[in-house]
Amino acid sequence: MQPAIFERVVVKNSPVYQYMKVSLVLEHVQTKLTAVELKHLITTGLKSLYGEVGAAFPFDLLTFEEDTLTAVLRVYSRGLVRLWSSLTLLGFFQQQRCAFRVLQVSPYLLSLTGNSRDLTLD
Amino acid sequence: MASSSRSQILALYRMLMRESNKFPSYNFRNYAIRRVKDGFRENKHVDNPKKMDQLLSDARESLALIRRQVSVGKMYGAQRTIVEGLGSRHLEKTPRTLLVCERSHLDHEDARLGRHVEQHSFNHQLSLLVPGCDRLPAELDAALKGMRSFLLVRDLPLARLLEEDFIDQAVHKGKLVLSVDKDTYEVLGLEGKPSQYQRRPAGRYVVSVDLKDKTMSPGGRGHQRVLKALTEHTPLSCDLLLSQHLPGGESPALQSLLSNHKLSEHRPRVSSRVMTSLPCPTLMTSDLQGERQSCDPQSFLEWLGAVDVGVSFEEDRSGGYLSSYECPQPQTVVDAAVRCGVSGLLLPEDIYGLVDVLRRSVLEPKLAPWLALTVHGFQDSPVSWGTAEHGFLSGGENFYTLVLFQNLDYWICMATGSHDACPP
Repeated sequence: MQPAIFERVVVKNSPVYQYMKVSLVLEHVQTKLTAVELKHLITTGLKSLYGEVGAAFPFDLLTFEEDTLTAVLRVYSRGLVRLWSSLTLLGFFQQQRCAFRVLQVSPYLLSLTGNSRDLTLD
Repeated sequence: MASSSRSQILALYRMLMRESNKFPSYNFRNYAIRRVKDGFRENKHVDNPKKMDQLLSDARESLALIRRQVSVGKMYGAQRTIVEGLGSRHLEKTPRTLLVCERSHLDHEDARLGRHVEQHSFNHQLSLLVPGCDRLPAELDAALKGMRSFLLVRDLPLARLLEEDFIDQAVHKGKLVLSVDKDTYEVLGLEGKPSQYQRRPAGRYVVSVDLKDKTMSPGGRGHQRVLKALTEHTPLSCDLLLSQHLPGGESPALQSLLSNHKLSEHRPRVSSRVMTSLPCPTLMTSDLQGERQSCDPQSFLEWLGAVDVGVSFEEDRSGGYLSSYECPQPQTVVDAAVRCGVSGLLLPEDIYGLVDVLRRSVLEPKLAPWLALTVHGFQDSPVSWGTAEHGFLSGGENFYTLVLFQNLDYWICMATGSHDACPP
């Protein structure tokens, strides 16, 4: 005999983190980039836009694919707008033009793994 | 109160509120709004027409006064005060979200798992994680590979879906829901509603047509109207994914119905991956809110996402510079885990069948202590959770995760984004 259970919990507006899927577009396609260089590039962009204090929040580079230059970032919710805006305004990587394309932003990491816009059929 | 003057009063009230909102100074603005509200509330019960006319003309004078004051106030710009919340704080806001978690037992009479699965109609991907084994049981494997195939129709005119033979043979009940932009909506001339999640004026409209309504019977007024709208000015057509669940095992009617169009049949794609020495969070069935030192649903969903995205749980060479993410504590390291994914158009009936198989498999001894099944809905789907409106905004969150434990207790976590209603 099972104990009678039914429990429902609704969690509102509580995401601690936000996740971003971004890809980097470079002027010279052949340029190679490592994960550490990418994180450094983003941090530099943040500092140049918001200054030392404004940029003082941590963010994580969860994955990075070196061949497609696509990365998944995790950031505290309160830093999302600052991170996003500094990505938008970041224009140079080692004297060549570059641009970040923000592909998807979500409070759930799972949502980034199942993007129906990438669905390909056999 | 006569209804014509009622609408006049409401219009006046709205105008007063709107104008009062334009005061640049916080104090004046709040005073004016409060005064307007109080004034109207005070005289709510007045029904003497003479008195009412008097009050209305007073209100019109006040409106003119507010307008003058606002424009004077704007000439001498006031500084916004700190209570108005425009420090750096507005940079820290994020769109609203909702996560609904339910815990119950599969045989419990209040268990609503079946209904949830059924109401999440348009799914494009599922992923199953079985920790603690390196090969799926044969029955489970067969169920994953046996998901039914679906049809892709290119350039299908939408009017085809409303023709008599199609409605008769393929539609038993249902709605045609179109989410269209403003221009298309105006050209279409069909009755619809502005999207719930758009600012006025709305840029997007939702048209919903009940296909089995009386007026929609072929030849009926409503039917002809919709058909005309979809064919005449802008013939709408699109690529469609179609699938059909037939309870009696009849021959699929869709192929023959649509044989004049560009049609191709697809199988869902199955992929599978075995992971070794994977750290897994410890889950306690009874602890849905994470109060007793086990993993709560939010961190569990994050961990599942990290597994699916392919985060490595080993210490990287940068010494924590890249990422500080690690598996939630307490954790156990399992030797092997299987992650299996299926993508295509997946019907809720098939997913429910899979849940049945999962139920049998989880009872097998030596299989995992729990299984996690995540079902992703189409992120651009115009509806989710029944016929509630859904929108993409920045992430289009539209999925649910089912965690099934060995004692047949389950958790279901339904995630929604900012353009979603609360799941039922």
